[in-house]
Amino acid sequence: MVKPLEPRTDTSEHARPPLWRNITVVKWAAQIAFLAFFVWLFWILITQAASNLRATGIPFTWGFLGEPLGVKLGEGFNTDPATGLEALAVGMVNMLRITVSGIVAATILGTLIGIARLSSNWIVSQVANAYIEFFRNIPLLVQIYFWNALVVALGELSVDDAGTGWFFASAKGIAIPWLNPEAGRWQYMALILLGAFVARQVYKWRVRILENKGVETHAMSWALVVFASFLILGWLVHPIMGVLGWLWSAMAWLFGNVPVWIFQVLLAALAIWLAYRFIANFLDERRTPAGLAKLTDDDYFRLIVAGLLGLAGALFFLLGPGQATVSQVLGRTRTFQMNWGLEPLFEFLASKFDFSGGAPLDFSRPEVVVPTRFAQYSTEVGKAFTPAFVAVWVGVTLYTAAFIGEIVRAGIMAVHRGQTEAANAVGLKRGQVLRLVVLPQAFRIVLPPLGSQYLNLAKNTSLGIAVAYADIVQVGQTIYNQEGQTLAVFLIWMAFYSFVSLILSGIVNYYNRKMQLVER
Amino acid sequence: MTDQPTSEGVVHGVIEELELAPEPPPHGPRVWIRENLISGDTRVAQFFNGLLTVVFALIAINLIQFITSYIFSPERRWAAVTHNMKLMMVQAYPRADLFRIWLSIGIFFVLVAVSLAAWGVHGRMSLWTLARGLRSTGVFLALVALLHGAFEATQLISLPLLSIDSPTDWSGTRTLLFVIGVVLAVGAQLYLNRTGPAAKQRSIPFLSVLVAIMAIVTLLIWTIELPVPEGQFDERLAPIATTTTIPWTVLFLVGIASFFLGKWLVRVVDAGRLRRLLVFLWVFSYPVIIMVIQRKPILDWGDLLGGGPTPFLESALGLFLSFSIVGGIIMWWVSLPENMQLGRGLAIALGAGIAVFGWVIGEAPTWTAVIATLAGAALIAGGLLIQDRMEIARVIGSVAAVAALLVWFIPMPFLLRSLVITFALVAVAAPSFGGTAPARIRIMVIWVSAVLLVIATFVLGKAETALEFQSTTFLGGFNLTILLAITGVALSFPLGVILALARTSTMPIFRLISTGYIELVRSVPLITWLFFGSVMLALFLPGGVEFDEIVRIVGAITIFSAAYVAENVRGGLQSISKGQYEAARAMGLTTVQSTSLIIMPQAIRAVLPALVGSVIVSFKDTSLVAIIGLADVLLIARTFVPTQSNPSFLGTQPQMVFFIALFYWVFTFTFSRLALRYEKSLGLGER
Repeated sequence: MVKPLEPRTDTSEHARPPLWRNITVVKWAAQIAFLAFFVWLFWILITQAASNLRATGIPFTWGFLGEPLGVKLGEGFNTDPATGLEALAVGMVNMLRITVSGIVAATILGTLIGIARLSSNWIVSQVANAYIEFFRNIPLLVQIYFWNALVVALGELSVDDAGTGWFFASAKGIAIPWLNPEAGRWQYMALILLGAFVARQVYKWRVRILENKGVETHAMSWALVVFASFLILGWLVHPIMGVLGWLWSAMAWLFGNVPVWIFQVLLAALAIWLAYRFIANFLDERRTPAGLAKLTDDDYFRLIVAGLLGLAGALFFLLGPGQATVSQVLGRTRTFQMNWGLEPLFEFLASKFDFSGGAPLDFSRPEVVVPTRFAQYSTEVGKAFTPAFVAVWVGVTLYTAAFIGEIVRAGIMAVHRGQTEAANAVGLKRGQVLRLVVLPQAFRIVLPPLGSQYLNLAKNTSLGIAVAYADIVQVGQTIYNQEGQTLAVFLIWMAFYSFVSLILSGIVNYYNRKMQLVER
Repeated sequence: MTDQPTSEGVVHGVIEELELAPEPPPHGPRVWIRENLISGDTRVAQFFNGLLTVVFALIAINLIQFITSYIFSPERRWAAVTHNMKLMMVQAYPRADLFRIWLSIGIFFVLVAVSLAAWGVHGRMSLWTLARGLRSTGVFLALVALLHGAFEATQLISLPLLSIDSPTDWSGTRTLLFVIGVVLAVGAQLYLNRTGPAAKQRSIPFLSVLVAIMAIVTLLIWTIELPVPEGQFDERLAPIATTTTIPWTVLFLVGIASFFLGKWLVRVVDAGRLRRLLVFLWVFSYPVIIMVIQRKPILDWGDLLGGGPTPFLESALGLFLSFSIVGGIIMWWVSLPENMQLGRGLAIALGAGIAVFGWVIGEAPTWTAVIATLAGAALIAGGLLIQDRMEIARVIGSVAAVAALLVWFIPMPFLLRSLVITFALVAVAAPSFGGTAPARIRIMVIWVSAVLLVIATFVLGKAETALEFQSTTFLGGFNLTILLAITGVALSFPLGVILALARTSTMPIFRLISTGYIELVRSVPLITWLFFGSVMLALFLPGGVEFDEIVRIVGAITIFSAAYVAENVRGGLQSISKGQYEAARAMGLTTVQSTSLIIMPQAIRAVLPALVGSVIVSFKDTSLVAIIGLADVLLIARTFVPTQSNPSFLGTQPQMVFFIALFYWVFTFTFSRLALRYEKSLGLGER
């Protein structure tokens, strides 16, 4: 029984619906109610956790960061960390080691497999296909267990193996020749960075000439030659970069001696300024002939959030509790000025740029030594990887490469056939077609899924805990088994992995934006 | 073409259309080699390609050799696998009660078979494809048997782990493998030669291929002999025990029988009704299998009826009757077309009121309880007054849902709490789907079965189990793996859909919260969420509330995979054109109706491949629970078998990991292939 609508006679009510029928008001009321509920829920959970912690007698604290851990780690730049924070730092570096090297290796391997999958050679494409189907369909954890078991099954090093060699594989891990860094490596690294910058400028300059005059300028070769000369000459002349040490000392002095409030005010001003710029840009972009009346709920929301964030940042820098926490965390006796550890950072850098000469990197072959009854790899020469590292690295790399192979294949197939045909018609060779026409276009399609595979790889390294690889998860677990600070450790995990994900997706998004087609 | 096209004719038509492309002239093997192994425009390219062929062939041969020599090496103790099969499948499930497991598998088989019949899976496989597949399989098997240790010259590097046994060792298995391979390859080639291109025209139902495979497997388990341990370090071959072979054979026959039963049912009963019944049975069978069949609870009539100290109204039966009758009346009324608008508000207010009422009866009246009851009464009054005011009804709707959820934090019987939340959810949804009598009857049925499901889950879950276990839980091994995978997917799906809707909503705060949840959850690896569930969750729960570890882990998996489901569904939502929303609006559908009836089905259809992919990922990810010590198939195979089961299996860890890798691979690969086939047949993901 639906009542027919009665025609409205009172036109004055047309202009503005009543408050409870105004859809904007209703939506915002619902959202604010939900937000209140959400905040309340969090509050309940946190107070519950606090009371539970009180009941168990283990109050929430970050104290373990500064206290000795008393546990040796399986591997890392410091296997006997003095404090919890140092142990976590070792874990983070271990995680990043696998992530970065794994991403590089998986990308190379995956690209090769993706191309091989599309090869006209039957057996090549079949082998690539078998690889993908095999590694993709087995849980990564099982694969890591398998590689670990394989390395362990290689058998112990025997005393007969003692001596230098090119390659060792045993239950102690795998040892290969390596370029071990020496004292001058920081100076050399700075020189290489400088070289990359100069090479980039040279490349731009040559391209400019090409565009202006229309003659072949061999921009890429020029850039490569410049970079290579920095690389080679730098090997000899890297001590000149020691001048940077003076700059770092000056910076350290600056951060150590300028009054704190100047930094506070500057940073607070920066926060306000950023927020202001955002809001101003936002409004500028939307300045339409109809005025700013078209701003939606969303836009207001963004503006308000930006403003609030700016204010919060400013307040944080002005009133923030930076001093106590930072000094406590780093375990320094001297009270820090509020400079977020910048002074010791520059002091550290200054100590590395001291005009020291000699080869920055030292090539050496691995060696098996027999310090006790048992043989082991020398830590001085070559590079030895632990079984846990090998298992996780190989597992993660091969697993991700299978997915990357599929992505690359899909990307290449998505490049329009006409592109290949046109390139063939112009007379490019097969390698050139792939390198100059197909791959650059495929790269654009491939990049977003590739980025999510990189994120997966970074997260998958956490499975190292299954074979006791000392990454941040394993170190964190050790800490909470000892100290009972589960919540704090979980927060550290969350912050660290979020940070890594953010950085990775930031890099991928940057390239993605650069590669996007610029449309009219 | 005067005949009416039958379903078979249509299928043939499709196949003919697909094969309409002109048949290339037949090639000899020489042409094939020239085109596929040493192709190239120039001599140099041909040489390079040939080199590539040789290198890759060597790699492939070596890999096959490694694997076969690993499998057939006399040092392997495969008895560790065969002897511990029961342990890996169901862990410490009592032997006398194993028929419960068989019964569960049987229910699954019957449901699959009847569903296949009810949905009329018409997939057909051309004999040409089949013969070619058999031919490659045969060649592969024969090659494997030949290569196994036959050519040491082709071995590139030797690993100490993989000592290749003597090349002349033509043991029984190897000979058998070779003979089977040759017979398959030659048979298939003869068939192809005899029929020629005509083979492409012929096809057989995909299901009969499946049945043939299962028949072969059944035959195999009756005839094959597997190693069993004898003494400390020896093995002998023995046939599979009849306690395994008979149930599988029976299950196979039952599966076939139920397929024909399903075919008969489709002809007798209305197909749509049968399908609805099957969907219901699929959903319903799951809790029944977990809670009743595999657990064997001791049920007490007194507990159900509320005899003794528990009053009748708080007993299971009393709760069921009161909730389903009172709630049913309300549902019936609010789903009347003329009451739609009023009804929505009222239902919501009643939901809130009952929530508050539950609060009051849960504890002795306090000031907060009294105020809350008054607020509930005010809501009821408000609901009565707000005829024709949809927006206010919605506002109150969200308030009611929140109120119903709030009872979570109030000490009251858990069952009552869940019933109240169920009531609020159904009551809020009911007016949107009401209208004609059948629709309202459907709502009543949904309501009563929801009440029944909630109460049954609680009663059965709380009842003590009559099984005697050696381990802490009756779920273990592959059984646990499957439970984790299914429950994780089933729970994360609705949560993911809600999150996706919130993330694509026009309301910024909902979007912010949803985005924050998704990004935060996705940025942290699953293993840390499992640690969270296993170690940290208890911190956030009120004292006295404790969950079983499996429940906590399921919670952690749900939290994690919901974020991934949400991202997939969001992709689907973004692919829906604006016109769909506008058309739904023009039809006069409400937001809820247009979302659930128009937008969501299309969005999910568009991203079904991605969702299937995330199901596979969930299955693989369940293996992570081994790290936190849940006895799933991986933990048992890798840790329990080599260390604890039997001293003679010490040191079998690598081969157990090898076995478990193949085990997972078979499941994942089969599932992904079946899904791919199904997607292609429906043309999914190609919008």
